[in-house]
Amino acid sequence: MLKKIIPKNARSKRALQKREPKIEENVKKAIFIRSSSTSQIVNEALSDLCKLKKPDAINFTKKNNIHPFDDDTSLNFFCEKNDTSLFVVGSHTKKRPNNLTFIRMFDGQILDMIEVGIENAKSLKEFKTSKCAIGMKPLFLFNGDLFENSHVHKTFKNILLDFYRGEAVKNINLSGLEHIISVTAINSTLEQSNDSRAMPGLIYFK
Amino acid sequence: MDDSTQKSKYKPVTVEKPIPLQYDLAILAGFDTNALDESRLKNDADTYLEEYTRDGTQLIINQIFKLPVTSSDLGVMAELPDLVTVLPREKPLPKPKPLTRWEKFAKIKGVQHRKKSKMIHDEATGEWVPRWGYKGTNDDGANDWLIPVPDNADPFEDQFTKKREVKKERITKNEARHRRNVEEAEIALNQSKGVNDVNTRSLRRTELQKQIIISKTATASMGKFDKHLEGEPKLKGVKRKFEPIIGDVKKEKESSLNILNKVVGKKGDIVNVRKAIAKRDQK
Repeated sequence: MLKKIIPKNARSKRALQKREPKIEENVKKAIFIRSSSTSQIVNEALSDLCKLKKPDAINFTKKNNIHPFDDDTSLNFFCEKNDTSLFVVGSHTKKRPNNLTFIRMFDGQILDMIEVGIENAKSLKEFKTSKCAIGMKPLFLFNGDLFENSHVHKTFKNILLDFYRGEAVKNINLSGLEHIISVTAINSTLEQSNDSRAMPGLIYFK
Repeated sequence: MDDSTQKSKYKPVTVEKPIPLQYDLAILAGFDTNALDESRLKNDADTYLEEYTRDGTQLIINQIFKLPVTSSDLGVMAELPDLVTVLPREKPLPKPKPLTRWEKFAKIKGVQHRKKSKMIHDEATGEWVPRWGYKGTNDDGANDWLIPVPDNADPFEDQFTKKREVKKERITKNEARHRRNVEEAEIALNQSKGVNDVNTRSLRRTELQKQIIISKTATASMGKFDKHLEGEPKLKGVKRKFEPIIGDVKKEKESSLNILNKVVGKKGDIVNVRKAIAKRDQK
């Protein structure tokens, strides 16, 4: 879809080589994008998730006509243009209020998508404590046996790990562990379907 | 982690869990499969989850502190184990690039590549100068103020221009070789994909030859007196056709009228209305 760029100087050649497929890959970048209608809750959630993912995150603040489950051409275009392979699409409709869709790409095509609804969200601003630095590797904690048994939850766990993994390093500075992302899932017996109470983004400080 | 005097302030370092956690320390993750207290979760979710997370965090931190530790100038570093969870790649694995002609030859012959340093010690000046590049000693006598004439050469030949021409020829040859390598690499890649190679070297060659032949017919003498380049195909049996001087009168009349029709128009219109409208719309 995009025309092939022929590098005219060494700098553009290096930039192009960075985007080539490699054996040891770069950190996956993410785009946070808003659909044609969003709500305040969705906007805040998107900007919070974006902050956690910085500096490998691109925040699209304008609204786009994107419906991931219907049409993926615009997502493929964004993936190729920005060299990102992770997306979060936020939307708010009557039928699906406060919706977030996590999307993963492989080779410019959609690999998997998970749609979650926000029931209760507290933005980072409401916690009146100092926040951790940008670019730190988070700790992960997945609570509940649903993450082992349910296929959907396993996929979600995989997507979240992929998302906030950061750089792949062999050594880690022990004083550089600053926050943890804790996700809990329970099986709600009130409703027949699996209702996962995901509680991401609780920032704890060491 | 905790100061011994302030032990009462912090919760205990050890945590008891019915089912022990699974860890993937390469991504600093812990997986807890214990059942959660549903009643507490419904009533006061925030505090319950906070306590739960705190316990889980403690366990993960304990595991991390068990790892082998090296100290560096950035601080104490823990060595992380290999990744256990399978995370998908972003892009497919890169395909190995096809070898160039020289690389193939070097492989067969077993030529070792010796890395050359950028700076070289110049004996004349006693300085370290670059071997190639800006201000390098590799300029092949381009700025020589004196070039001795070799014995078997023409004494009136300009040695300076000769040197420059030789260098230019070498450069063009090198570029041609590079282009050939790129073409061959593309062919090799396309062969593995099974794509119909449209622009292979041989096809391009025949295409160009056809085009040369067509261009020869542009001259009235069918390219008979064109400057002949080496490697160009020689046209055989293509001549200009002359009509006999005393020929068919009817035929001559017909051909003249044909030309007239084409110039003036079949229906006698001087202006080709369709073309005129198109030209006006173009403007």
